[in-house]
Formats: sequence, structure tokens, C-alpha cells
Amino acid sequence: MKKLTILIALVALSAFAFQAAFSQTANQLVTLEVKVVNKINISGPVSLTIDDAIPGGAGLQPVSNNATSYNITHNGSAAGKITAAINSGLPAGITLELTLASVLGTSKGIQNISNATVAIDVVDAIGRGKDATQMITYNFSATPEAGVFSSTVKTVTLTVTD
Amino acid sequence: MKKLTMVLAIGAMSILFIGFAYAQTATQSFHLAVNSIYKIATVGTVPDLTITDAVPGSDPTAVTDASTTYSITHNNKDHGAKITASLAPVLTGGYTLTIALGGNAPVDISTATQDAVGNVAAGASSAHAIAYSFSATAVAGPLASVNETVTLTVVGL
Repeated sequence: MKKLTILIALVALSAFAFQAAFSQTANQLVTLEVKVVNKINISGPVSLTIDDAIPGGAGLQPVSNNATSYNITHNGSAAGKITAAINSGLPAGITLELTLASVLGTSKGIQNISNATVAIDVVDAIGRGKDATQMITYNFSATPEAGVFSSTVKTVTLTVTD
Repeated sequence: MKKLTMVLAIGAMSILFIGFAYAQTATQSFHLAVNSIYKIATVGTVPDLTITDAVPGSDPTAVTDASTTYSITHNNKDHGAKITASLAPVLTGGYTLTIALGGNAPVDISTATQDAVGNVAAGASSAHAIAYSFSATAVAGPLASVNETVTLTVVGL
């Protein structure tokens, strides 16, 4: 019995030595990290001009534009949001509304951004992921009492945050 | 005449003895062996692979590094050898680390050991590029800095 035990031990040792002789390793340390990434961009500029009305009807004819879109990548919290702000407010009687479609989050629907110099939420509950080519819709309206509004460049800023 | 014959005989024997005294040989046997040798080593330190950016609408932008190298020596001339690569600890879903050794196609080592080089001929060589690519999906979210160990193993075929 003792001889058998010694024999088994020798065989096991031989097998180990055989394995060791046929391979060798080298280790390399790698440090991995993914930061919070919130990115958004917009496809292009928009031009909105009111130039018609139904006589005696409900004021000037509003115009809409949904030719642009936004892309978003968000890997932060599961409750991200997009806010919108305009660089300066519009005169009384001039109204600009914004709607952002969303798959990742929940659109807040039509939002009046005419005087949103402080950002307001337009999409919330954005989960982690990516959304491409989501529609941006602008509605531009004016009352006759507001008069003529000369062509003015305005900047709307969309911001994605956690 | 008899005396002369004896003198000649003694002279001849003396020459023979002198010959023995000036030449002698010895032999020695040698046991020579070259064992199987498999050696691999990495050179250089991999910089931190940190994902910080994305093209909006796409997953975060992958980061890469090819600043380190490996050296290898093995003498299995009959069958060759292969190099495997593994990662510990393994990565969770949504994070991917690939490695490409010496210009071979990248292999995904995020969760399992992979053959990184299929057949290395016997020999010694160095300065083979190690190329890493680290990527993540947006859905996977951020990943706190984590130290990982990549193990390269040269194995006889």
C-alpha cells in the first residue's frame, strides 16, 4: 500500500513537471475605467418665418419645422434629462415652442421656450443608452398685435445631464 | 654473433617502452540534453484605458493602446507553440477588452481565455506589439477604475 502511494505521488509530480515544461506565462497590469459620458448634438439650423394670415381669422398663420433632429449618448444615471434654453427672450406676442421626441426617455411634449433663458426640462427619465435622429419640432407663432419682428438669430441650447 | 643478437633485441624493447611512455589516451562519456523551453515576457506599462467621450447617438468611443510589446523564446521545432491570453477578473456585460498580439487579429478576452497567436515557430524574437482596445456600451454605464491582469501564456502544441 505504501509503495502504491509513493508511485501515485511520483506520477502526479511527473505530470506536473511535464505541464510546467510545456507552458510559461507573463502578466501585464491593465487599468480600465469608463467615465460618465453625456453627449448631444443637433443636425442643423432652422429658419422660421411667418408671412401669412387668414383674414379676420385666428391671427397670423403659425409655422412649424421638424426638419432637424438630435443624437444623444448617455451612460450616467438612469434618470437623465434634456433641458432647453434660449439665449434671450422673445417680445410679447411672439411665441416659440419646442418638442423633442425621445425613445430613451420621456418627452415633456410641447414646451414654450419663448422666455426660457433659464433652462427648462424637455425630456426626462432618460435611461442609459444611445438615441439617434430624434425629431426636433419648432412651432413659431405671433399675434398681429406684436407687429413685425425683424429677422433675428436666436440660439436654443439643448443640454443632457444626469 | 649471439651477443650482438641480444644487444639488438634489448635495444628494440627499449624503443617500444619509450613509445608507451610518450602516448596515452583516456575517454569520457557525455550526456547532453536541451529541455523544452517556453518563455514569454511583456515589456512596458499599459497606460490607463479610460473612456471619456462619445459621438452623440453612438456608444462611447473606444480607447486603444499599442505601446507595449512582448518577447518570446521557445524551442519546440517539431510542433510549434501558441500564445493564449486571459483577463482576471473577467468583465461584466457591456464592457469589452480585446488584445491583438504581433499583428494578429484581435481576440475578445473580456470573459474567457482565447488563443491570441495560433502557431509560433521555434525561435527567439522580441518587440512584438501588444494592442489593446477597450470599449463599452452606453447602456453599461460608467465603470469605476479597476485593475485587471492580462496573462499571456506560451504553450507547446
